[in-house]
Amino acid sequence: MRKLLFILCAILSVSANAQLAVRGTVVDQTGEPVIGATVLVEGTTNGTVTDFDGNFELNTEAGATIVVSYVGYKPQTLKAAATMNVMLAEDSEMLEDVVVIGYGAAKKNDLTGSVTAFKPDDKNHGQVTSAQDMIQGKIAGVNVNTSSGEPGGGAQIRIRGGASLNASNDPLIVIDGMPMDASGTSGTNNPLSLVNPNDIESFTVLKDASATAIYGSRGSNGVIIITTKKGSKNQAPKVSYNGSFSVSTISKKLDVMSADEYRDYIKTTYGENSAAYRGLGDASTDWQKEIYRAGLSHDHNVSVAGGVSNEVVSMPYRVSLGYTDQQGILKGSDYRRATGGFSFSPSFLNEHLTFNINAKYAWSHTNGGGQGAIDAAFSMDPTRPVKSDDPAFENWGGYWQWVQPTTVYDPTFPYERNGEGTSNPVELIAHNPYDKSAHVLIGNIEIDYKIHGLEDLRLHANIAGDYNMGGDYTHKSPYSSYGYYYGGDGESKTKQYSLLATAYAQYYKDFNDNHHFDIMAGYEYSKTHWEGNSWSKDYYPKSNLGTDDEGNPLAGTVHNESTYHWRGQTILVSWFGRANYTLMNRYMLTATVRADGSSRFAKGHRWGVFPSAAFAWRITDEPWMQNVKEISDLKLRLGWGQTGQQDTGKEYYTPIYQTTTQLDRLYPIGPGNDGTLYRPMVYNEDLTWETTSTWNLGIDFGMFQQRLTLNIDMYKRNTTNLLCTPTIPAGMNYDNAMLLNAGELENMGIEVALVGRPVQTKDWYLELGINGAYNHNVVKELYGGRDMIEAGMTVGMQKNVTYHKVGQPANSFWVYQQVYDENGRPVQGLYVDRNGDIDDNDRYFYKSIAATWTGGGYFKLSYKNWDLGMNLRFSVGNYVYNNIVQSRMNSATLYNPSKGTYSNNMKEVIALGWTSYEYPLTDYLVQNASFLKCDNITLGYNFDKLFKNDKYHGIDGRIYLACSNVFTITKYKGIDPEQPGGMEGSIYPRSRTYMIGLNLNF
Amino acid sequence: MKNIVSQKSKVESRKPLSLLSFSVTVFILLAAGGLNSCMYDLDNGNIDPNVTTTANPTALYSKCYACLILEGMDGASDFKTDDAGKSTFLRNLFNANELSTDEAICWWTDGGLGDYGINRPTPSSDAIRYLYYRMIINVSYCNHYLELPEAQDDKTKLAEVRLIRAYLYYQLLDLFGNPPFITAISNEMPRQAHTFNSKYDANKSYSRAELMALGREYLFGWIESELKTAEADLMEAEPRTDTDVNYGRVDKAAAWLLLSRLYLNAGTYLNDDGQNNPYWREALDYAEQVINSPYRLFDESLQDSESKMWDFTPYDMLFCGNNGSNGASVEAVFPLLQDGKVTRAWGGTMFFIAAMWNSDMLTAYGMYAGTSSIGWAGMRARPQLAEKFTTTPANFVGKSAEDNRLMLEVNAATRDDRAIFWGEGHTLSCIPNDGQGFFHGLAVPKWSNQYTTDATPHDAGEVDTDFFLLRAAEAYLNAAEAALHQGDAAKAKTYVDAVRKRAHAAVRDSYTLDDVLDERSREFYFECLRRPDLIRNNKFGGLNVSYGWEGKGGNESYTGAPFDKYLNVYPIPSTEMMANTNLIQNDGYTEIEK
Repeated sequence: MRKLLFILCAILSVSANAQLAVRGTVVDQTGEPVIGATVLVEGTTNGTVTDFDGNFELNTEAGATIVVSYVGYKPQTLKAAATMNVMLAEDSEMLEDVVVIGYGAAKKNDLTGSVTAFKPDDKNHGQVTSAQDMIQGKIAGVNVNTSSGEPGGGAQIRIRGGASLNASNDPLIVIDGMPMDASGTSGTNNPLSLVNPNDIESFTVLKDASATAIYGSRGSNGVIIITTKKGSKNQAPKVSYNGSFSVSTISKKLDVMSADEYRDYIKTTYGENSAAYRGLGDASTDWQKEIYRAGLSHDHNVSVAGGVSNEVVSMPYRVSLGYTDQQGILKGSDYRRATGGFSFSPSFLNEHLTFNINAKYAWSHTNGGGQGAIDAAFSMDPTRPVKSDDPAFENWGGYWQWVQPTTVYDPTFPYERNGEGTSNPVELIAHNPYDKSAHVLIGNIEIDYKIHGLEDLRLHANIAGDYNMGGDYTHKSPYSSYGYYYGGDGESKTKQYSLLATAYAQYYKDFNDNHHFDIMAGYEYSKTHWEGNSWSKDYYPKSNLGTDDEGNPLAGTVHNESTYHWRGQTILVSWFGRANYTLMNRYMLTATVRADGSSRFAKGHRWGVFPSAAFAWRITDEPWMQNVKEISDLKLRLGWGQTGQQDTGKEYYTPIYQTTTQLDRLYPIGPGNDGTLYRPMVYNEDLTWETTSTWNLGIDFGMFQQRLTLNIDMYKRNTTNLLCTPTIPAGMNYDNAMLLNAGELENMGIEVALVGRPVQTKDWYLELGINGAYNHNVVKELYGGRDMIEAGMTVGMQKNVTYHKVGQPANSFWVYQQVYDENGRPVQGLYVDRNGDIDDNDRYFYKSIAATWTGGGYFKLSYKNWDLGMNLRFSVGNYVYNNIVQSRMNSATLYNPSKGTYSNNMKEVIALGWTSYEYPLTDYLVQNASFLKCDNITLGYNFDKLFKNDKYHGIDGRIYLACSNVFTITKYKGIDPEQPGGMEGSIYPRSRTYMIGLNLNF
Repeated sequence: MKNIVSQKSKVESRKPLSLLSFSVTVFILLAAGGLNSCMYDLDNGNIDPNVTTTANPTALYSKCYACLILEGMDGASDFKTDDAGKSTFLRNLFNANELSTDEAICWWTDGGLGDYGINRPTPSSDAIRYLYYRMIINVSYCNHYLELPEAQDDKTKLAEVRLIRAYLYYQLLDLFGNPPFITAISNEMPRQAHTFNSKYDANKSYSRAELMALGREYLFGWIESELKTAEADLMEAEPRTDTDVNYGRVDKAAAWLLLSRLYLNAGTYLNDDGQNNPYWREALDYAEQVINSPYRLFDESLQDSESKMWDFTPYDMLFCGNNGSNGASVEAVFPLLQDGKVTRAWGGTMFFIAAMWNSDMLTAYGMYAGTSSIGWAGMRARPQLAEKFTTTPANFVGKSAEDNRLMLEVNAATRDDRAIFWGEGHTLSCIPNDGQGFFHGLAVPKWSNQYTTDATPHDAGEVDTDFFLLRAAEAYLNAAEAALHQGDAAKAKTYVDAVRKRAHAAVRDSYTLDDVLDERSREFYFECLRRPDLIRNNKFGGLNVSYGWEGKGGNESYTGAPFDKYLNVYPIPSTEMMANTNLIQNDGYTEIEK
């Protein structure tokens, strides 16, 4: 079939008016034949592709120019000759050559804004389940932190730290022209996880406002444009396989007491004759060991890419299928995903009319594993067995539990769980009743038409849609902690669709060699609609003896049920335009403007206009620089722009009432009243966008033919009308907090990216890269003349611990200064007194959750067929509130005499000897969480021409070994310093993963 | 040759030109068409089916009642909290008015409960914050209803909501002295009560104590007038059972009882001295209006035979699962509804059972709590509460509640149905309050979800027990106290005797003011009345107050230690002080440095 297609292509490409028969071979720098390279007579559709040995034949007129090109190589343009031996050089800048930007593409050389294009590294990587794994640590100023180690889990992505206080700081993610809704859908953790990373061709990260302002009201937090892979013109079908197999293990457990240590502790604390000591169990269980495992995962991807073409139509295509099955390290947790996608890019009318049709589908299924089990394993008494024959535990399937006798159920349920004791973690896993799954379909049709006779004018339309459907499912057994006695089933399903219609026209004009001009104007409509419903129901078991008020038996009837239905939509209508002017190919000016109308705001506050302007100067192209051979690139960029943020979740401006939906929390009072309640909701008619103005100054610098490159960007960013939900005065409106435009925030920073390729020989290749970003933010002003507002993190019993205060970084901790004893232990309740007694005025501002320095580094080394790579990532100056310790701070309650239960604790906390939870606002718990992480080390071996014979060119490919999450260097005392929210609770721990992978190209 | 070329190019260019114009036309049409429909789309508004822009006066009226006992909508809090159950009005009222007194203590170390227990309330206390926000948000719901055009036709309901709002302001006056005062919904920053007092001059400077006095005086007058205005339109006083559709609605008796309570405490609010009160007469008159109404004490004569067979006393039946239907509601001037099927709440009567029970306890009539939700085990009695029933409270230790009742019943002089103490496994002393649990101090299984018939509660976990926010018994003891101040000891004796007889307690020849205060403790302990009762009798804050209790002022001795009088009023929460720049912190408390 493959061969047949190839022959077909060859025949189609034979031209009738041949005058010269050209024969040739195309090889790469190492002398290897290039298969499937395009050989084209310039200015015609007359062309062919090279065969398996790099050979081609072509008939053309004498004196014609022949262009030979192949993806990843610099194209060669040559005069036609009877025999042509062409060597293609690899083009390290190939990807960067043309960069996808908002509503168009631009030559990298012509960019005026801070734009980083990034192609996933297919060699130097660890376990990649989601697109977010590919950009982690790679781009200066782009910070990716996974939220936990849960399979299929989400991540927090921040570009330059985000511009908002409490509104979303998530960047806008655009997949093939379709902006993705960040809120996602139930049934999945993260919209990004539903794009198969193997299908991603490139990322473009727009960082500064001059680049993102074209996205207007959604551009404030930066934009990540993902472009998926496409086939190439005139390419023989190419079948590839990527697969991997991996084992994940727990990287760090919590240091709680072992059974023996626990017995000793109880004996020492309460005495050998105490009820506490006598009540201990005689088992020795390491509960953390019981719930974790080595998780096995495998991942397979197959793709076919190619292109057919003739005089009428050219049709590149790519079809891919993928399957991932990932086991979590928590028993019972797993993630499975199947993806399929295709892309066709037919072009007609001599490339005047181009279509680009993409569709991607993904199905995923996530089983969280009893996640309460992680917390329970920290706290469960280690002297209890996992299972027991005692009849008291019969109703939990024999799993040991804290139980107490009960008479309220029925004779077959003589015991209930003692709610104050920890649930058996293993039982929580065994009876885990939750799973979720989702289907996502994303598709778009792009039409691009170059007007015949007026080729300078291009019309472009994109119709895109995204449909997803997901659900969370619950099946609780009556014989489990989750659904004891009544059991219960439930579902929560959502459906969401987004529609996008974009149309723009672009006009290019070169007045002469010195003046290039292009202008683009367009219109966009986008709508997101979501709806969902959930229900839950549980039942009286058949053995129940109760009766209702009328004396009817309750056995088998519904005990509780509830249903809930929701629906919402947001609409955005936009006009936008861009103008570029280039003078003498080295002075470049860009201006953009976008006007957005959003359904989230009231009339009069609905439309926002977002302008930008940028200037770039390509210094290397100055005549006086031509003699400086060492410097291969030097460009200065200056930009300014305004962007917005409109993520309020929903309309917030209308006075509305919330209505009761549950039938068990009604208040029927007076005649004709079913008890439905209405609650007036807080609203803000004056709500409007947050606006961010950014100045950016950038320098791109390259030396020694780009073997050393340096990019520096400096920025200052002011956000006004910050969307925030601070506490408002009681009695105002209808709540104690309200979403409002609450102030002004300033961010300043610098980003540096340095890449060096010191060794580049036939056998050896070494590349080193390092990037770092410094960001400083400070709250400039708050609404209503206020000095500080709560930032949202609460600890203990809803005590606010982070605040936004004028003059301080956002999300700063406002805490008491802990006093320590001579052994360096924090003394319970003893704070540094600043004013004669301990009150709010003794609190002080101490650090913030945001890192001041973030970045990453890597090296890639290859020798002949071998390659070795490593990625590092660092974060400096981020502080984390250690809530794992706080939630166990009272270590005096390990034995609870009033409930007869025991719990375990961390040795570190026991050593502190605190007896209260009342002091969560101590700065002892605000801990330096700076870290250096090694995300992966990868060793690969490349092979080619496997099984080569006369008829078959053989298989090439690569086999590699990788370790992910290799090590972490930190002073932080909790489990993992990487906490995007600035607080560490009991999360699913990130695993260490060992992987073997295989890539094959047939 | 030239011509030919130009002709050729003309011919070739015709087709592309038409294509161009066609494309441009389509493009413009698409854009324009899209534009039209899209601009309209921006007005579509909220399509969430769980919200509506149309007011439903009945549902908004119900909300004004519900927010006294439910946490919010569908089990979620009405305002931002960490735990919906902690946002409920009743639970917060219990914490503020019981944990700070000689009646109750809680060992839970979270959220300011400990601060209440040692009389060191601070502006940053979580518990005080919840109490404050709960009451003010409830006021907002009432304000909204009272302004609602659709609600104006039903004068009775308006009067009821007006009474609920006055009750909330009464509690704000009692607990916070000089809170912000809001009677209409607005986005203006609320002002404190003192600014509404006609005596207040914004240009003069006042001490914080003076501002407190101005604020209290204003609120006192406003509440008095509101209750009187509401009274006119309220339903006639008429006790009901829960099968009556109007059960749960307030009638004139509620206005009378609240007026009586307001006047009884007028000394506290007007003179910062509970005994210096010009309103004893009014306190007596309004209490007697309740006493002479169809509401009455639920006593043995009203008890059915089935409940007697199960050894329920009339007092027990006020706090049982079926108290809305077993006859006890003859005393319920303002019952708050609870039902295991229809009206569930985390912080209503559920709290009064769950927080006070442990799984091995039984009631004084020998039964389980009647609900599986009993695991919280937090609140216990201080020994001074047990002392109100016996001179030898240590005898309660080691005995079940049933045995303790039997022990007292042996002697007619000591018998009192209201002594409901569980002592098995417990000590009398409630100290140390060290987080070691529930067993320091006697437990109080006063509320239960048991039915006094052989019917079963509506749910094994959720409770059916209504909460009697206002009981007719209060009118009797208000009247007795006011009568003593009026010099009418005989009248006082009649009313105290009535309350004691209902509890099968022996009557005495005469009663002093201290006797009446103790009687109030016996009758109403754990019912959220204790703090104002002690303040009125000058037995709460004040460094010269001799009355003490174990743990008072954070002193672990049996009679504790006195604390400053400014602590009679709670501080305005610091979150509120930061949010509302109009406010001035209550006298004595640290102002946050802004």
